[in-house]
Amino acid sequence: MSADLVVFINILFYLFGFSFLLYKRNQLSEQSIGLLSIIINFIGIIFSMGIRLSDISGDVISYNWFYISDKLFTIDILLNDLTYLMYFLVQFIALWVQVFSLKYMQGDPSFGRFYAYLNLFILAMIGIIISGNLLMIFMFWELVGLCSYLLVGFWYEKKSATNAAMKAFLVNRIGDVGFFIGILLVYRYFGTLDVTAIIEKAQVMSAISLNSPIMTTIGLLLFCGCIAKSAQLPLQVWLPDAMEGPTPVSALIHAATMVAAGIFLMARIEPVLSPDTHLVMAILGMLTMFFGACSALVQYDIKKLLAFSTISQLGLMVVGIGVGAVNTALFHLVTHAFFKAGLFLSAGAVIQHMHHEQDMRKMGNLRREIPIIYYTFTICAAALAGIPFFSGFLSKDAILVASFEWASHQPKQIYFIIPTVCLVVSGLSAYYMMRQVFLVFLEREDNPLELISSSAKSLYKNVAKRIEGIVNIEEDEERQQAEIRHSEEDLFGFLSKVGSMEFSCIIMAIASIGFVFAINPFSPESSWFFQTFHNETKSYQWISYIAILVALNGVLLGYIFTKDESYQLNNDELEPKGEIANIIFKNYYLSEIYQTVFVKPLLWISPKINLFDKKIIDGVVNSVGHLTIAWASLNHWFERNIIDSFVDLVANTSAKIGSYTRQIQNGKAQTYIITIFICLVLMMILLIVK
Amino acid sequence: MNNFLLSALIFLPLAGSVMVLLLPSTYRDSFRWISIIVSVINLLNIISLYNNFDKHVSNYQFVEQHEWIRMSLGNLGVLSIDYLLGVDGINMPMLLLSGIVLLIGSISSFTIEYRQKAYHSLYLLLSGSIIGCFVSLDFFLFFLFFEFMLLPMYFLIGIWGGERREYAAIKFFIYTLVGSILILIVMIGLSMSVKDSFFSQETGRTVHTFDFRQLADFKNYIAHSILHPFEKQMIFGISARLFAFILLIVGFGIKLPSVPFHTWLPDAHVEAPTPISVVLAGILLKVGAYGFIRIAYGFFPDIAFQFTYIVAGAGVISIIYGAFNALAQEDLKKMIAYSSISHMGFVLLGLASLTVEGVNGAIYQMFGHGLVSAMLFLVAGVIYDRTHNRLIENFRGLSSAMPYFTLAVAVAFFGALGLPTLPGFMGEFFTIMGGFQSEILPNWVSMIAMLGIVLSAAYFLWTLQKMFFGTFWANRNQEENMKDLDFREIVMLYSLSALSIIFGIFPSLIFDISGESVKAFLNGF
Repeated sequence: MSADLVVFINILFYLFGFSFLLYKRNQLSEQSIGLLSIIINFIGIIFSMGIRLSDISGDVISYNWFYISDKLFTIDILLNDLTYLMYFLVQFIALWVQVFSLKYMQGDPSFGRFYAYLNLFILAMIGIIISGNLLMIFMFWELVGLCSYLLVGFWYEKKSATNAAMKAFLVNRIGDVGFFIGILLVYRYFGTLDVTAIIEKAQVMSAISLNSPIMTTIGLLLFCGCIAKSAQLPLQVWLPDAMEGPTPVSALIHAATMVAAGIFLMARIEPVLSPDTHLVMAILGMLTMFFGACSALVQYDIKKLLAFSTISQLGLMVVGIGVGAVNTALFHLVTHAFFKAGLFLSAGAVIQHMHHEQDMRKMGNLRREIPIIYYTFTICAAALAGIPFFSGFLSKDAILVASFEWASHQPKQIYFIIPTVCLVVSGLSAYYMMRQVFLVFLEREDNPLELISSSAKSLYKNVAKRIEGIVNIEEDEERQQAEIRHSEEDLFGFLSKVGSMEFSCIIMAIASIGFVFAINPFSPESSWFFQTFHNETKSYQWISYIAILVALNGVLLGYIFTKDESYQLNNDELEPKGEIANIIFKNYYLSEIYQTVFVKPLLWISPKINLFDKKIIDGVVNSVGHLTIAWASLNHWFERNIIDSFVDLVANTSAKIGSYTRQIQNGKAQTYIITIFICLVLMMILLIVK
Repeated sequence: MNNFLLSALIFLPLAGSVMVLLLPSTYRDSFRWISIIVSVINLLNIISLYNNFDKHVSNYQFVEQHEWIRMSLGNLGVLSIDYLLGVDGINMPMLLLSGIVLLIGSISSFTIEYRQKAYHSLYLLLSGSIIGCFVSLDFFLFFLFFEFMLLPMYFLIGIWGGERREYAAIKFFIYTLVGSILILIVMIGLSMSVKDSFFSQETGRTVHTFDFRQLADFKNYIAHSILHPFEKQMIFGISARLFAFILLIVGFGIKLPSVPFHTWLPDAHVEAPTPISVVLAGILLKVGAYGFIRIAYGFFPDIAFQFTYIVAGAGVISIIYGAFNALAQEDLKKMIAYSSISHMGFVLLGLASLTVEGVNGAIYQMFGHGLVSAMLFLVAGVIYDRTHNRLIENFRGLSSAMPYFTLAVAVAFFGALGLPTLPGFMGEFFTIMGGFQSEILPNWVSMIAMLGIVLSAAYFLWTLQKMFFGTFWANRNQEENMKDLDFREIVMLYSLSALSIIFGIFPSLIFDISGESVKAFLNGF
């Protein structure tokens, strides 16, 4: 069986999963929905591994899609190492997210809808990955955006959720417009949309023509798509809001896969990008990384912190592509996908445990209550922080080394700012991850629960909350017992007894350990990833050691500062103290700025335009109508009073004349004689005068 | 050439119309079935035409030609009007669209209870004239059907419409009639300037013709005639051909409608009953666009070339202006009406680009918009039927009460805002691609059009948000009326959804048909 056929069948499976689950979402039980969806996903993974063995060509497979007059548009399936990697990665993470969701989404009335959307998402994501031309990529790109919309707004009765969904879709649309224009310009100047053909043409270009303004324009426009989807500055505003979606969705879509699609796209078309585009990407990536990390420092919401750290890490990947080290960026994409999914899933487990409390100030001491989650979270956090022996260290290091290498080849020293900032920010990420682990899991002197009960102001409220919690716990216990009773009956129940949530977290944590990727956990070069994907970096290896120091320093500082941090627990507002901290916390008020600069004027002007339409344009039409009627009535008046009265006048005059002349012929002999006499006299006078 | 399939398409509805008139009014239920049966037969007929259509030639196919009127004009020669029908790649998609939308419209007409006999008789009359308009290849015949559509439309809006139906019907009628007069002037001018090359030789006299094929050929123009392409005849100090072209773009611009001739549309749409809105948005607007392609551009390619900026500008202004207006609407149906104006702007943009991508895209956009706007108006009708209310703010959280309905709404809305795999996307993509490929148009024109894509996402999602998400609530305690779709509505909305997806994923269903003809069409420029 050829590889493209396998992919095609695989996509059909997901399509079936989506439509069947959507159709039967209310009839099927949760168990059968979950089981069906997971089986489909599992088959997909087997397929993805099967392709790797059966197909080694790495070619584009094209099918005719449609002709526009003589121009052919094809369905291209591009199967190279990058495709295989992403194909496996997406499905692997999706599988564990689905397993996790079995428990997490349990009892949700829309359980089936959730799994249906997940199937659609995986389908669209696979579509992006296998597409070999920009039109197809764009189509699936938008479909992925649709899935994000549907899943962020999954609890559509919550206004904040649907607002966030709409915001995500619209912000992405803005970026996509740039992407769209970029595609059209590519078509105009390359005459094709086929990615491999474009790359081939770009590679034979001279350095000058590659760096021409038009190539830079194309590159930057294509990058617009990545800016929106991968949440780069200044369009990153949608990602923190997108945390309104269910946590497994945040793990799968807004951390591991969809947001990485922008990076994947840039990696696919990297040879087309001009040096100027590269530079812009490096700078923008750096800024995103810095500002994202700063925002993460001050968050109290367990998911929002992770969202900002995702933004920051995506910024690092963009830097990786910007400095031309595509494969290091991809490596980080892979490791990040695992550890960030692990972090989100663990966070989901924490949120579940805390009865949907997301404020980290109200957590603490969870290490004893949910030890498994504590370990998985810490392992993934360590990977994110860049601690040696964990996967994040390898990939982050590779990017840092490559960026220093790149800066050294640049004409001016000032280019070293980019790698230096990245290095510093990686210390910040160590700091905020430590802070998070500390706040959520470790014992604190100011035990928040005690503080809550002793706090006089919010005593009543919090007690009420606690009682509610206790009641919930009792209910949970009852439910668990019921589950245990139930679980003896079938396989599915057995799975949930083991703890599908914990199991998924464990898998992700294992995948975040450095040994999974490289035998020597200090050398990215030894990883299997760079065995497959070439990486040229040779010098600047000493950066690794500095990076380790920076990371450990970050952890240490994080521990020290968080320990001293005191929280006003009775203050329900999420805002931190201090103005700068507040600005950072609010994500630099970007959303608010957009609201005032774009949205409000738009909503202000559109009724005005509508009024213009009603009053002026339609007014002209109506007044033409009214004028015609007025003209007609004027005509009518004119007709009645002037023309008709003239006619009447003629008639009346002749009538009058008639009535006068009639009197002449009155038949009386005397009158006639007088008339004759007068006439004779007149004639005589006339003759005499003559 | 002895086939009669195209004639059957026209005369079957007309016969149906007469049949409805002849039946006694007591057979109330039979009328709607007659119009459905007629529409089904027509659709099947059109599908068989579609299947037998030869995609590799650009000629007119299934041509039927009969001599109709021969009138001697003394010294001026002979006036020849033929009964001439045929399809090529430009009107075949429109014919298919008419078949689909008219069937949907007739199913949707089930809800009409008031004076069914008159309604269905007029509806069938309308069906016949629409199809006649699309398949006529004789300008006189085309104009006849073009005018004849107004009559049933006027009564259908004026009798079965909403509160301000008289105003809307009169406005629609007079506005479109003004456009028709402009077209009529050009028609007379054209026929006076063109002679039938074959018959003129045979009879030795000048035979004036209305044949589309002859009108499009510069060789047939009579020397010193008013609209001769190479002799600059002047009217009021401007070139006669330029003058004629301006008359045509205003005439068809009213029908399309293009800003600033669009104001009849929101009124007519809002007041028309649901099935008539569906037909109006689904097909009637496309008659204007079809006239643009076939007549304005087809017969005046030299002038059209100079008018690229103006036509593209009108398109872009319609896109943006319509979108802004749609954003401001509080009435669901008005919002959809303005979105129609916005989406028809893409047709003008694609056409003005004069590239294969643009013109094919324009034809696809016409087809796709026909499907999607039919769905959109059905959606508005579903809500109106239940509550007699269409204000967006009066509804919240409908998705929890009406899940099947919401799914159809989502397909319609996302189809309209240009989500890939639904028809809106391909139309927008290729019309804008045409704009970028065009040698004449600067890129920024198409870039402004892109703003319309963002805006359309904004107003559709906003409406979705306001009406369908949140906790369920309907104004004036109408909650219990908000029942989910009944069988008939499911048939209409879901079959249109399915068609949207099919045509969205397989655009070749349209592009294959239109490709050759568009190539031949563009050779004239």
